[in-house]
Amino acid sequence: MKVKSSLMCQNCGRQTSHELHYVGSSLHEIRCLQCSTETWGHHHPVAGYVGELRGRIVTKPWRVLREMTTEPATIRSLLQRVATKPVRVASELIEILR
Amino acid sequence: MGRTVAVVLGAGSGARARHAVNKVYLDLDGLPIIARAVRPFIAHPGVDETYVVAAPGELGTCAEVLGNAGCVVHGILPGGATRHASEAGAVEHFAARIESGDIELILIHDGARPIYQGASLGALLDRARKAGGAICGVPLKEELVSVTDHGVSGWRTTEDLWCAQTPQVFKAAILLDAFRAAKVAGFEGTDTASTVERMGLPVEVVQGDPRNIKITFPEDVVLAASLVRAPQ
Repeated sequence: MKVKSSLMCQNCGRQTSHELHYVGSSLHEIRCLQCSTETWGHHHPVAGYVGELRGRIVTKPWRVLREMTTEPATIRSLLQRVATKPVRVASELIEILR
Repeated sequence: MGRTVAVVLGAGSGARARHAVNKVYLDLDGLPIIARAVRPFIAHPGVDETYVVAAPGELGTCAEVLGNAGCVVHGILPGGATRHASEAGAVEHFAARIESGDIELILIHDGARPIYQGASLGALLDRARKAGGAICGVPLKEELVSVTDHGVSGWRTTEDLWCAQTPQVFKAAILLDAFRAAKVAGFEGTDTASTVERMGLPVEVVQGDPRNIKITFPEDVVLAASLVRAPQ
């Protein structure tokens, strides 16, 4: 996932728009859109992603249970989310390996 | 003893590109920066109410982000064009309650400081109650030099220099007077303490945490992401 935000660029010497590249919830890279200076987050995105994925799998039952108790209406979208999950995980992996 | 109100500043500033998000809404290891900044005050027994100041066009976004993160605050207030204006607006919002004595202390915290977890908060509240104002700070570690076009022109003594952090806590009545006086004088403070200090009122410093960084540069986002993952 890529997100734009305004941060102070050391090279430009002012606030500029930056693009932040997340892999899962791990920050992979930040790039200044003015001067293209790159700041690296996680140097080993695959290892980081695998670790994060493991955590997401372990906590999934608890998270689904919490969601069902606090927002029962979301159950309706559960089947659709289960069906599309492999595609979403695959697209995250493709993004890392690219 | 009156109530203690925490105000977390998340209005942000600076020109933004289209489709860009305010840095306080950026994700930091699965939780938005603003949610991490707000949590210590919601959880602390010494803080009675927590408010967030958001940009006028981002009030809904702020509520949604905090709600999704499970952060229940007492209100979201619209910010101003500058940090000083946001602080002044928030303090003025509570003016009637301050004047009636209902609110005793006001705590101000940067929404872009997601690492702070409430360390020294009890001491900070106590010192503010006794002295009128107290801020977190850390001694300056780096050497400072004066630089001209010809290079280094001199070294500065840093023994008495500290880096001011937030949270900063003040007696609410003092803060209200300070911001009203600043408005009359046309003074624009860089942080809350500078607005109080210009009135000649004492502001004490409580030892802060060097990890309590403010997200400003891209490197700060990377460092903060590492810090939230590191064991405390």
